[in-house]
Amino acid sequence: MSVYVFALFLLLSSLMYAEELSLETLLKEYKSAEEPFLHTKKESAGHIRVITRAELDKMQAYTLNDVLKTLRFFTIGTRRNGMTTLLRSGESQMSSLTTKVYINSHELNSATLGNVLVQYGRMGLYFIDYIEIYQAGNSVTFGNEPGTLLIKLFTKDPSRQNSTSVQASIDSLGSVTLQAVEAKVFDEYSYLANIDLRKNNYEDYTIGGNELSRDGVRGQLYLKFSKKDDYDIEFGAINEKYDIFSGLGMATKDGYTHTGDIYTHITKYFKNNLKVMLTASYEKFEIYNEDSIGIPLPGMSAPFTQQLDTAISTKVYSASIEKRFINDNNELFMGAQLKHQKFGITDYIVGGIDTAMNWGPKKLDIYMLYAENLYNINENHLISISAKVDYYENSLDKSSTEQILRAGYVGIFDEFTFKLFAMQSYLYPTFLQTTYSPNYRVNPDLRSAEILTLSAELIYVRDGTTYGFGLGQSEADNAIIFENNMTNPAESIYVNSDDKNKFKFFFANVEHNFNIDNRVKVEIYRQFRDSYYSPREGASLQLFNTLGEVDIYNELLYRAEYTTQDGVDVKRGYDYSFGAIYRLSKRTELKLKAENIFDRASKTPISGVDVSTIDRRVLFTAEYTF
Amino acid sequence: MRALILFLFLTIASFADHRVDIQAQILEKVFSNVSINETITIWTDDEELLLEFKKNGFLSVSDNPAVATLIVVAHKKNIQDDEDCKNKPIFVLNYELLKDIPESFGAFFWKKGRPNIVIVEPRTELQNIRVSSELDAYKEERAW
Repeated sequence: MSVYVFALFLLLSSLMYAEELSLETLLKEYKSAEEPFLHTKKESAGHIRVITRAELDKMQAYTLNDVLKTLRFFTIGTRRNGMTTLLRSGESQMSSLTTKVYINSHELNSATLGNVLVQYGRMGLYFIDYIEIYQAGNSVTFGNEPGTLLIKLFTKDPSRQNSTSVQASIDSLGSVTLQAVEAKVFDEYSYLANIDLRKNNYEDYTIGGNELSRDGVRGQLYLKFSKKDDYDIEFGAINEKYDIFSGLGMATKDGYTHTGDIYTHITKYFKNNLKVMLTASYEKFEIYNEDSIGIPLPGMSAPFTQQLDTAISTKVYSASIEKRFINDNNELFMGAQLKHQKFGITDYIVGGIDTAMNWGPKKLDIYMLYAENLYNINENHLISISAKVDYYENSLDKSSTEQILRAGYVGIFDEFTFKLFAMQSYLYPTFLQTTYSPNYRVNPDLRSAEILTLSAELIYVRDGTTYGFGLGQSEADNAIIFENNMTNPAESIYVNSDDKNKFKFFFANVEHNFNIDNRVKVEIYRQFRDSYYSPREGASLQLFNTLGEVDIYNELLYRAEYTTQDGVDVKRGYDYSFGAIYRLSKRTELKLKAENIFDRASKTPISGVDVSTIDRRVLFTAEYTF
Repeated sequence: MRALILFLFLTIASFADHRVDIQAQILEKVFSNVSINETITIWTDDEELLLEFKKNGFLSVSDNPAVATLIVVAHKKNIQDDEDCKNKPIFVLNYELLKDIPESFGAFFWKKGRPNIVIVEPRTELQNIRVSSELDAYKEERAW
């Protein structure tokens, strides 16, 4: 018996040894050790989750929404105009969502809508290398106005790409996507280029005899030209047009939503950790809607129209300078930023008549000063103190000074990491709340909400398994809430609440690496607040496997049942998706993905029907690398 | 300064050590499957790698390119016009160098976000370099 045990031990040992010496395994380990996020992620900046390119590939995450739907505390939802958004646990679609999305150092603006994910949720990720997501207690060092969810998209590094890749997808609903990315290095210069064209089809719904569609087309272009350690010049543009789905009225006949965004961002690096950034961006947003009953109009003598055509735009210019001072055990980061936003209401055509309206302030200047000090008590303990002062001045001569104060502690020990953050921040009202809205009253007198967030996280790593647990609470004074007028929706308005808006939260996760190719992640979360208008709790299970030349991905997302602000009950959701990738050769990959296989993903009630943001579909993709 | 770096970049530092260690293991595995007409003695312009090779002791290495029989290069300028490196098998650590140094027989490089190994067969045949079947998966007619 003992001979057999010994023989088995020898066999297992030899297999393990063979695995250890496998060149393929070594190459995979080398890739892990060279992950670029190891140089960019800031443990002191919040509760961070990194999604690597390897994960994005295995997940077949083709759009930002494919990643966002897996985020704890968030549920993806459909808007009445057919676009998508992210709902923070318990909150309604009308709640202010302070999400910030960056491509490298550039913040994607959504001054027009105030919710960047509406315009960028369907953004293609083919040019993105990895994503860092910071939740609760974000560092001020990212600049710009504050956010509670910060998504940093880092583009592919040309020195690691040296290639041109094209990818084509088709799905069971008839959607087609064509993407290309090219990245090359020439001595000290490099470039990255991406083009992404899509025809997106979604499940149609019939309401009151009208067929509601949110099908659309989308185009995206990204270019980056760099000189090593000297400068980066980035250019991005998107253009998308979607059927208006349920629209702004009660019985939509026809219409569309058309958005566009174009920007350029220049980063100049100087010696001694000094960086200067300049940005210019222009975005536009147009809605055309025909309705057989009527679209409610705010502040008009005739409260309904059967046709509305409205277009708005925003120009944003920004300049910032940042510098780091590193001395002994201390690192001081200082920055200053000027931001000018100019809003334009180019069309407001009601029933075919160009209508003049008295809108709110159309210009906003923000002057920002920010600093963060990291003090290293010893090799295990880090303290961070941050402050930011932002001065806002709009074209109605209304000004305010807002502040962010943040303190953090990070302890890293052999197997434990402990994080503690306290942040006093604010939330400034958006253009759509103060200046312009096609379907509710604007409130130019809105004040900022003041937010206090406390959060803690414990991470324990042992034997290839990482255990995480976090909890916290947030409370807002002068919270900006949507006062829904059920009898006359056009008279609804955003106001500052007199009540404190409070919630508490916790999350727990476990990640186990069986080996470099096989991994499982499980996470649960729950929020505690007085009322819930979206799922208060959720869970996720992600299984990453590689078998020879095949990558396999399984994903199960659970979101709890909830009741909307309008009193509609929505069932709990289970979104199970499966993906497989076969490497036909070094150049060619074939990919198959089935999403929302049981058609049980969490839904959004719109005009009496439950709409699934994640349609049940099968997607086939082929990729070729030159 | 050192303490701060130790704290902030502790993970990065340990990964950096790990990176060089794995890089050396990969190359050792490649070169142990390559044979030329004489005993392989390696010189490389990558100092970290040279140290790691010495530490591991699997390969014969030299600080002097004149003594070396196989050259491993990260930067072309380090061997340009160097008589000691001429007419010796060259393995490169950069994708572009495969084109810049036409006599290089193989490369360890990044492409499409992944580390790759390529042994260019026509070049090995031309230089009488024998490559064992262990590396069949990495043999190419040209750099892809």
